Amino acid sequence: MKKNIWVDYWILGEIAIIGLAEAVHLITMVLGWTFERCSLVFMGAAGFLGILWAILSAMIWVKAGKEKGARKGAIIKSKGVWSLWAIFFLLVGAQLFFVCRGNVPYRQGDMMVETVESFLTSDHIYQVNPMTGQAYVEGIPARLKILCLPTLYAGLCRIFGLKPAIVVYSMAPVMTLIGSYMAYYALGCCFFPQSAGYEGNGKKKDGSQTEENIREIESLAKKRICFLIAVAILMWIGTYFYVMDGFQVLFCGWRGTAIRNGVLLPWLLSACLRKKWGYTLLCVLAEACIVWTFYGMGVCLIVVVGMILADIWFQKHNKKLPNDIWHEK
Amino acid sequence: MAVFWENIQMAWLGWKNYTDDGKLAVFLLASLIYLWYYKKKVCEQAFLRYAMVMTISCIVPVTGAVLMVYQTRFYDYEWIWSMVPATAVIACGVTLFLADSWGEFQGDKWRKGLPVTLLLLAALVLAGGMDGQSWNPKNQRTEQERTYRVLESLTELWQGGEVCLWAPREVMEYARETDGRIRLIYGRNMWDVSLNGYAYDSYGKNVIALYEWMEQMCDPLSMDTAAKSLETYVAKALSAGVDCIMLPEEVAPDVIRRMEKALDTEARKVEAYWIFYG
Repeated sequence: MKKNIWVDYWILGEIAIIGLAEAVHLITMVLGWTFERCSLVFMGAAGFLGILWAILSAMIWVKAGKEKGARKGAIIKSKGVWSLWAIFFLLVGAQLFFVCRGNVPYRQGDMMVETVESFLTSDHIYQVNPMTGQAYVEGIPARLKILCLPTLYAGLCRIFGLKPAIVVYSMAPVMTLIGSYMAYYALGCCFFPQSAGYEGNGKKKDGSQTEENIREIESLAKKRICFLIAVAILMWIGTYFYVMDGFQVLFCGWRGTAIRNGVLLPWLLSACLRKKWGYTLLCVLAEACIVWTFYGMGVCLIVVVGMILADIWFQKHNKKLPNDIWHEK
Repeated sequence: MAVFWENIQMAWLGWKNYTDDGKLAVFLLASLIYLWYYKKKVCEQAFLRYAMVMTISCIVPVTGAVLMVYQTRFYDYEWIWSMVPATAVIACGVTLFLADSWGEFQGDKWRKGLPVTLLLLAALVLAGGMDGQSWNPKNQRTEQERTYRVLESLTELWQGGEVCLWAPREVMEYARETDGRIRLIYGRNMWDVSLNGYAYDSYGKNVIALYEWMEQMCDPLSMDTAAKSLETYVAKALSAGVDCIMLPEEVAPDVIRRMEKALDTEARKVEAYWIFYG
């Protein structure tokens, strides 16, 4: 079993929130609760989850601190690495600013804000048509009705007293954008793993750490950051067409398809490469909760199956990832 | 069989559409070839082969059609490209190519690395597009801000309760997202047909007629013709539950008088619209 990367916990947290929202959403629909009650339950459960997450993070932080202490002297001091990080954060900062302040959301084919508004105004889930505010005559497809993102966003509006347009058009895309880079970082660690002959601190297993080792580790770190910079640039320039990852994340990051394409799929690929099959199952379930796949099976499933088949058929060519893939520092 | 043949045609047209605006697909193919021939030992083989098989499957119309059937034909052809990790493949290819140019980022190879990086960046920017060609965000922003101001004024007018609005398209477009208490006689799905999949409900003939009449009233060329049947359509709207009507400021003074009489209210001008409410 490969060790988790710190970004895994972030994405697992996002998936846990989706799962929680789905559970509350389904209970509310089945029991016919008001949205007021639904948001109270969601707030309580999210609070509990938050405390649990904080305790776990603190434990991991303390453990990581101890390990870091043991690896003293292995931290990269190269200016080149920090310069690349600076370029990356500049690009991501510009994207965050764009999403929060300068962005015009792509609303075609989407009615998220109207749906959230209708939940809050009618105090019930799917009692009125979000497009008109009038009661439904024929109703809506069952597969659509079980998707949890409107409940999640409406719950956040109710808890924090924010307008739906702010939560949907600004907050959610920011989370998607950050989650996306976390996911790509995990994937980058799989593409450019630490050599199997090294310990987590960059030293060789026999304890030696030569100038050559340090250069090699720096080269690895630079490749990972270069990979992230390339992703950030591709996000910017991939805004010309509505199915491109960049367009989805920067112009409609609140949508289920954006979360799937930007966060779940890259993380799913990294999970497949690390053979963390439990995580891949979480991705498939998360997609089912947030994307209207009509009555189909979704994209995550075919990616998992494809990766398993590729892994089986070409097993002899595959490199074996070391247990600790990400420690460049 | 006919359905499958139709899928194949859609897949072929979809591929052309996918590569029309930007050329990142070219970079995807170039990255795959580069990774395949030069970096076999470096890149994750399962990932590389999966990406390659899925890319070919999406390009070839027959397999593309199969993938469309997998996604139940509900989504357009373009969405099958979600199954191809294009961003990851291109980013991986770019990284390894640059690592080669910069001497594995280990030495002082900037004389070769820097020009190659700049050229690659220029090629990437040219292959993509940073102006969002598939729709015009600038127009949307102007329209959105103007309409928000109008709707805020409307909210101040009616103060509490609910209101059923019938207005020009650009006002109806943002009404429900501004305030959930504003009910509409018809919603955004009247002109954005992709939204019709979200409900089994459909609009009756009367509602469609009201939409068409309002569209005519907003068009300077057909405004006068539409105005002739004003009372008929206002009566239809009232019977459908409308209690607030908006018209564009360009309408003739006579139309405003007739509206005031039909609704027994006084017109108020807000931004570029006449509001009849009360």
